[in-house]
Amino acid sequence: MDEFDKIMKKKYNEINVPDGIGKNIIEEARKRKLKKRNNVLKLVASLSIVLILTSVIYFTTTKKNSTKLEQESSIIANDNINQKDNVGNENVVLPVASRVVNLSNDSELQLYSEFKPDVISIVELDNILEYTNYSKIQNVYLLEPVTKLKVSVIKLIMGGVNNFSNIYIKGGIISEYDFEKSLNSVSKKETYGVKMSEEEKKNSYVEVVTKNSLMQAKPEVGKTYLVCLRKDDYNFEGYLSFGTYGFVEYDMETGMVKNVETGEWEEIDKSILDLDSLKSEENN
Amino acid sequence: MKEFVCKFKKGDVSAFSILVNGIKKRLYVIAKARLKVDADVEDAMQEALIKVYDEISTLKDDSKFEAWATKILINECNKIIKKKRNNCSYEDINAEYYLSEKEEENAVNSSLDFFSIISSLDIEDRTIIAMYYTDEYTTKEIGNILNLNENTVKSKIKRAKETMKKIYDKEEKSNG
Repeated sequence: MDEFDKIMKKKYNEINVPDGIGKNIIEEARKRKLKKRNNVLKLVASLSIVLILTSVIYFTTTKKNSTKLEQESSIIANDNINQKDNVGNENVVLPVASRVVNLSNDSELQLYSEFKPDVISIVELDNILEYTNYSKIQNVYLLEPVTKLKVSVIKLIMGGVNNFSNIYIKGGIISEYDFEKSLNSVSKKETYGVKMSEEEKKNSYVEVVTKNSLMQAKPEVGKTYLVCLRKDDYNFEGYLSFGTYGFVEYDMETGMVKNVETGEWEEIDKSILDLDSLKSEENN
Repeated sequence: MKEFVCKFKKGDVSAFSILVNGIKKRLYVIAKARLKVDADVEDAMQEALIKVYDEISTLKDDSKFEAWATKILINECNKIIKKKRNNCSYEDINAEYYLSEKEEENAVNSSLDFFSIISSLDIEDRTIIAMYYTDEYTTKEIGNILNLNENTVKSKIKRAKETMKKIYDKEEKSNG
């Protein structure tokens, strides 16, 4: 250290940080999370209303057509459709939620802490296949449901797998009956459950919002998304989104992603997801 | 530092305050060196620390907390610079002008402070010098954070020090 370094070091030590800096960060972060959650809930509520109206119109039309067919050919239509049989069918009828349960403060549902994904890819959403909270592998009903999506890989950025067509994202709409199966303690049933008959529970649906689902975009068929996936062999056989860039809308022309919170297009934050260094790590 | 990162990851919120106090001054000096304007520095610090709070679970190696937080801060500073460049208004130009006048005034009336000495350097050199004098970053770490080669960082430090020394000596002479 020369004489000038000593002078500069002394001047550095004389710097005082203004009082306000670094204060109330936790409160501000919590406020923002709350605001974000409220915005998402408002959006979910609006979407639910739209979905309910769409479903009413859809079912009314279907019923009219079905009645007409019955009259013409005297065939008795069986309207007892089991939704689980429709997986993989392009014309899947998705349930509509009549209430939203927010589990984003539930300590059991921790955010994934792994930094490195197994696969990063640009995909186009072809279809929303199903919502489920049932893990076939573990034979249990989970508190946090998932949404199964059918996608087409447009560009594989990282990871050796480019032939996946189904992925899972966190959150979804499930029947009150399935949801209650995941509420394995009395206190949880009292907090999140509803009082209904078994039959009503099978026909009423609940949208489950979690920390993870709040971080990702709403799936819309035809749109392009950046997905960061990890292989999930624990609950579901397949690839599951995780982290800030787990499932976000992506613009192919600009390479920008849509901020889930603000709705604005922005560049990928390299401090969270540095595609270049991940690619070079993979090559090494 | 690593211990508190670990505690905070496990949900101990009080560990976050300790972490912030530990890195606050270094981050402030880097932000101030990069942005100059106090209001922008406060904004960048606030946004960066909130991001640190929100994204801590994505940090894989706890020992790299400081470098990670610094990267986040520099990204926030860059966002502010980009936003200003896009919305450059008369007031902004005036503010910059006022700042340089104020700096000149400081230089004449009192001995130069840290930021006045580095103010004549370009934005990248100012950031490197600010990081260098915190004594917390090696030239290799500075290079990693700013995506520069270690040798480039070393030569930039050398050149920047020569420039700053000239300014400092000149000022010392004029003050007698």
